This record gives sequence, C-alpha cells and structure tokens, in this order.
Amino acid sequence: MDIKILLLILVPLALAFSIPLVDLINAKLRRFFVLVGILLESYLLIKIITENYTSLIDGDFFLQYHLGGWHPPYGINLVMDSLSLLFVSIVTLSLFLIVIYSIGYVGHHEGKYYVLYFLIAAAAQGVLLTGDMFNLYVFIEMLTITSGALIGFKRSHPASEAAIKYLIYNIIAGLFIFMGVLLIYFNLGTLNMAEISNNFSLLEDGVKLFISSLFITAVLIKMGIFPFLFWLPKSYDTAPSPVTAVLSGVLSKVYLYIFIRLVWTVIGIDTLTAYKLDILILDIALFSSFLGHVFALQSNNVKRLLGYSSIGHIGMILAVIMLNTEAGFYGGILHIISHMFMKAGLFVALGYLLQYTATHHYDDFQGVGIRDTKVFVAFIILTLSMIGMPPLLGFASKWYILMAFLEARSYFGAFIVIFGSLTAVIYYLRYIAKGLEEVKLYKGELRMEIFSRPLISVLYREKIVSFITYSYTAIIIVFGIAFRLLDMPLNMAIKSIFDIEKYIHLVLGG
Amino acid sequence: MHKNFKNITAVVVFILMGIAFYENFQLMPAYKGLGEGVSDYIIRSGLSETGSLNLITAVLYDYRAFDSLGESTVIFGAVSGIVLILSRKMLPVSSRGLSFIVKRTLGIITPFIALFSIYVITHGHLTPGGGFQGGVIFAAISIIFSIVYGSAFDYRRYSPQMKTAFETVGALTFLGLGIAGIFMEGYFLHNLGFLTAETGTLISAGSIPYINMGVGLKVGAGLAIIFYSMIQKTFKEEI
Amino acid sequence: MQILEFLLLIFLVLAAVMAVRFDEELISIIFLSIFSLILTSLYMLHKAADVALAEAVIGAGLNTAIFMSAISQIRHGDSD
Repeated sequence: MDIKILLLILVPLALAFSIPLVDLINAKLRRFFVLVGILLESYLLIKIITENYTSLIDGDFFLQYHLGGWHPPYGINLVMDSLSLLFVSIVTLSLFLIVIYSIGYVGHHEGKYYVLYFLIAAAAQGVLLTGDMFNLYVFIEMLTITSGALIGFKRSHPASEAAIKYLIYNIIAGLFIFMGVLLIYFNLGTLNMAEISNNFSLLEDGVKLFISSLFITAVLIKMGIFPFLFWLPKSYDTAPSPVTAVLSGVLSKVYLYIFIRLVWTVIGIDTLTAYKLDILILDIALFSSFLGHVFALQSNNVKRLLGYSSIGHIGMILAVIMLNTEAGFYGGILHIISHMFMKAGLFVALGYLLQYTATHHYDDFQGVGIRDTKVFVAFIILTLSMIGMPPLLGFASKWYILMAFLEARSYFGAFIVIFGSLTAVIYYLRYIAKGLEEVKLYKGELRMEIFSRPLISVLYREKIVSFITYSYTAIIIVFGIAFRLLDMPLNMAIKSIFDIEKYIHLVLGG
Repeated sequence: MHKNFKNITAVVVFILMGIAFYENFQLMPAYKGLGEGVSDYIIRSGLSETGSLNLITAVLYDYRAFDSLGESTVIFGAVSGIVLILSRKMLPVSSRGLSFIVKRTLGIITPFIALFSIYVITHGHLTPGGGFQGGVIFAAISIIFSIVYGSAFDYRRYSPQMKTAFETVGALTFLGLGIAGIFMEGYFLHNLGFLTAETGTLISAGSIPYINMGVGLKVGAGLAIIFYSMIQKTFKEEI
Repeated sequence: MQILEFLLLIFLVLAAVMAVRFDEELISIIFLSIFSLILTSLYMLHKAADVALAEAVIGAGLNTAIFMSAISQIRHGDSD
C-alpha cells in the first residue's frame, strides 16, 4: 500500500486540470506550474526507487494501491512491479526532457498544449501502473484522444488530415480492446488482470482465440505493424517536433508495454503458442520491419523517413520479444530504451535544425549542417547510434538482439537486423551529406514554417532547445559506454515478466 | 470495378466479423461466470456499502470511481483538443435568431429544462441519471440558446471564459473529493463517511451527489464549449 | 413484448441502412437520430433506464446538434 504510485498519476492530472484556471488568472505563472509539476513527478519516482532499494536488490519489489479501499475483484488496483518500474522510469525521464524542450519550442497556444501534454503524461503513467482491464481501456482512450489533438496542433490542412487518419485508425483499435474487455467480463465476471490470468485457461477454445486475436490486432494497429502502418509516417511528419518525440519516444513504447502485459500476464503466452499465433506475429513483425526499412530508403522527407525507420525498429523489437526467451527480452527491452532516446533525440534535433526551412523535404535539407554545426554533430552521433556504431547505445542493443535471434536459430530475424543497419547507413548518410553541402543563401530563401515557427530567435529558447539535444546525445554516449549499468533493472524486469504466479499471488493475496 | 471491389471487400469483412461475434456470443456460458462474480456481490451489498439506491451510480462513482475520473478526463482532453484545433480569434456576431414566437416559447420552457437537468444531476443516486446525462441536458440549454437567439446572445450570457472556469471547477471538484478521501478515510476516492444519512433521502450516499455535481458541471460546460467552437465561424458569415 | 422487440429491431436495422445509403447528409443525420430513439426504447424494454437516458440525451439530442453544425460548416464551402 503505497500512495506514491497513485500520486504518479494524480500529479500530471491535477496539473492538466488546473492549467486553464491558471491561464485565466495569469498566463505567466503557467511555466512555473509546469516546471513544479514535472519536478514533483521526478521527485516521487526517485523517492520510490530509494525507499525500496533493498527490495529491488532482493528481487521482491512490489507495490500496490487499492483505489477507494475496495479490494481487487470489486475495485480498481494499481500495481507496480519491476517491469512497470523500469518503464515508468524511462517514460518519466523522456517526458521530463521533452517538456523542457517544449518550453523552448512551442510558440503559440501554449496553455492548451501543456494541458494535452500532461494528460498524455497522466495517461501513460496510468497505463503502466493499472492492474485492471477496463481502467487500461480508459487510459488508452485518453492517450488516443489527446495525442490525436496534438498531431493537429499546426492547424494546417495536412495536419488536420493526418490527425483524422490517426484518430480513425486508433479509435478502431480502441474499439477492439473494448470488445475484448467486454467478452472477458461476460465470460469470467471479473476485470482484474490477476484474476483473469488465473482463470483464462478455463475458457472454451473459440472464445480464447477470439479474445486474444482482438487484443493483438488492436495493439498491432496502435504500434503500426505491417498491415496497419499507413497512419504512422503521415502523423510523424506533420506533428510539431516535441509531439513527434512524444509519439515515438513515449507512446509506441507504452504500447509495447501493453503488448507484453497483455500477452504474458493476462492471456498467457501458452495460449498463443497453442494456436501457433506467436509464429504468425513473429513473421508479421519481421516483414513489417523489412518494409519499414525499404520504405525509408525511398523517402524524400526526413521526418517521414524517421517514421518509417520507427516502423522498422518497432517491428524488430516485437519480433525479438516474440521469441519468448530471456535473451530475446534482454535485447528487446534494451532496444526499447535505446530507441526511445535515439529517436526522440533525432526528432528533437530536427526541430532545431529545420526551423528555417519551409518543408521537411530532402532538397531543403541542404546547408542545414553548416548553419548550426554543434547541433548537427549531435544529430550525426544520434544517427550513428541508430545505425549501430560500437561505442554508442544503439550498438549494444542491436548486438543483443542479433545474439538472441542467432540463439533461437531465427536466421531471417538476424538477417533483418543486419539489413536494417545497412539500409540505415545508406539513408542517413544521404541526409548527412546533403546537410553539409554549401549553399548560398538569399534573403528570400529564408522561409519559415508558418505555424509551428518557434521563437527560437530569442536567445534563451535557443539555448534550451540545443541543450536538450545535447543531453539526449550525452545519454546515448554514456549509456553506450556503460550499458552494463542497465543490467540489473533489465534482469529484474525479465524476471517479473516470466514469474506470473508471483504476480497473481501478490495481487490477490497481498 | 475498383469501387465494386472495395464494396465487396467491406461486405465480406463485415460478414466475417458478424459470424465471429455470433459464434462467440453462442459459445458464451449464459451468464455463468457473472453469477458468482463481481456483479452478484454488488447487487447483494451495494446498497448497504455505499448508501446509493441507484446501483449503477454506486458502481460509477464509488466502486469504479477512478474509471469515471478517467472518462471525464477524456471529455476534458477532447474539449481542449477541439478548442485548440478549431479556435479562431473572432467574435460571433449573429444576433438574428429565429422568429418572435419561438423566442417567447423558449423563454417559457428554458427554466423547466434547467430544472430537469438539475434534478437529473442531484438525484443521480436515487433515480436513473447522474452527472453525465444531466450535464448533457445542461449543455443543451446553451445549444438551444445559440440556435434560437443567435450565438451573440449565448456569448454575452455565458462567455467562453466562464464556461472554461465552470469546466475546470467541475474537474477540480471531482479530484478534490478524491483527495479528501485520502485525508479523511485513508483511500483515494473513498466515500466520505460523515456525509452519509438515511438511505433514500436527497443528501445521502456520502460524496456521490457531490461528485455527480462536479461531473455535471464539467460535462455540461465542456460540451457547450465544443458546440460553441464549432459554430463560431458559420454565424460570422451571416452578417 | 417479444413482437414489439422484434419490430423495433427490424426498424433499427432499417434506420441504420438508410443512414448509410442516403447521399444527402441532412437525411442521414435525421436517420441517425431515429436510430438512437429506437435504441433508447430497446434499452427501456430491457429495463436499463440509466443507459436509455444517456442514449436519448447524447445520441438523439447532442449528436444531432453537433452534426448539424458540422454540416453547416461544410455547406459554407471554405476549407481550412
């Protein structure tokens, strides 16, 4: 019974509720509130880790909170085990960095932006912490609506189009999850994850298959895996940079967490192997990864290219997780962490680099690197990490993924990892070369982005934005050299994924 | 050919989904699981534990109040998003509205609509209804005003700032009652014991009526804001 | 009672098909509103008063108003 895990959700929620009121009183106070909120959130997380450090080392870390005092089958409970702790830590770190970046970047409609941003923060924490199926659905819906609104933030024609496309795909996915929750409730009479996982094997075969396929389809749509990937590049392209960083750095990783939670804890991997669904998902994920890299090769728009490369990486992570081995999880979760920081860092750097260009097109990339050399160096380091260069974090994670594929004798998977790196060399080098090309600038050519035009000309804003880019690069370099530091949390998370009986026992009996 | 192909695929997918659902509802044990599950427990002891005659309200605002907090937050997020995407800095200037007869008739009816919405909100724990439904009826008043009297009237009576303030106050009421639960009863969103009275009276069932009022304010103001930001521009062009 | 429910179900399907088939948006919206009304009475038949109230208020009332305002925006013919 620890109230701090509840406060992790409540702090951003209360902040989002009170920002409109603060706006009505004095809009200048807003940033102060935003900073206090995000610092409080980080303080709570650090407090949780330090207070439970001994139990973390011993491997029996487990926190639970019963909302309204109702015990599990009747009420909602929040659960935090090692897996959710790991995800909560990295999500909070990303949210912290991106919110500071937003202070420097967002120039108009700041009030509404922070409301939606903190709603996303609250919903992401809620998804990671909840132990109840319907509550999970509510938080997923919250994530979808708020992020859809943020994709349309620029209010231009393509932005609205991308937002509508995003909303249609994702609300259909939400509907599938809702159907699954409904069927589970009708069949088992409970919504608690631990109770469901206790009783799920008692169901009849057809119902089991139908429920699992509903959940899996929904999460595949949300992650942008092969048959349903067409909403993703468009929304990555038109959203402003910090929003794209949230989309790729937080949301897709949260959906991966949901996938792990649903498949391993709730449904049970044995159900999937009984229907050979795991091999199907593995193949779909690998094919999707292949397609993502191929599409990225022919893309002429740098943000769209990063979207396609995201599809490639997420497909790879999903495939390596579906191997259902410890090595697979080790590589997968390590790559979740590294991809989270690399991709968000790239988008953050692009937000700075592309501030004076009219579009995100390849031709407009010319001379970008000469204008802001320092940030461009950071950009190059981040792309090298995406490719998988040795001293950086991307290398470590890709190495473990490759090892996991070879260990499981999935040679096609190993081929996809190598193929991804090779194509990444081609498509990133092309942009780096273009960025370093000398260009003679005329005054008329310094066109600006019309809506998302950041007021970066103000000095402190520029400092903030470039500082966040450097911190992402620093994270990549430091953890790349010392990736053994992540050994302990990763092993704990993997242990809690496989130890389902303990989860059930602790939720229902503790 | 191409259009036909699309239609046929859609129909085939639809039929397959239908068959799958039919099969699954056939396979379902006829409410077997539910008998010994959560719903039976709530029907048995919901009244004595929460003091709310309407068990649906008891589930919504006591057993699973956190879900309701999330749901109303979804509406809050949707309102913020729509205002963000649709807002244009211009004043609505249509004050024509409909004919004199309609205006007078509505003038007589409006208090009763308001009374009904307040009834639905405050009696949520006794009769069908609650914060969500009552809030929507409340929003309907604002919508009817802007259709019948013209949106300028609605703007003058209830300015967007006022609606935003109402919405935020409603949301903070819900959250505040939840946090009061931590300090007085030890759990977030726990029913406040000192507010309970004899079952069946208006002021009973702990904090449930007050949560209802908060949700009503939030939903009503939020939906009014949505409608308002959607018509804004249309009426401008009518001058 | 059984017959009434059966009739209502048939009308429900008819209203849904009509709402999809008509090209005129206004008529589609009216049929959607009718759909909600029939659904409301079905909920009442099954003694789900709470859901019926919500469906009547949101489906038949609010949705129609919001769709109407959206359509009047489209009719005015500028897109941004």
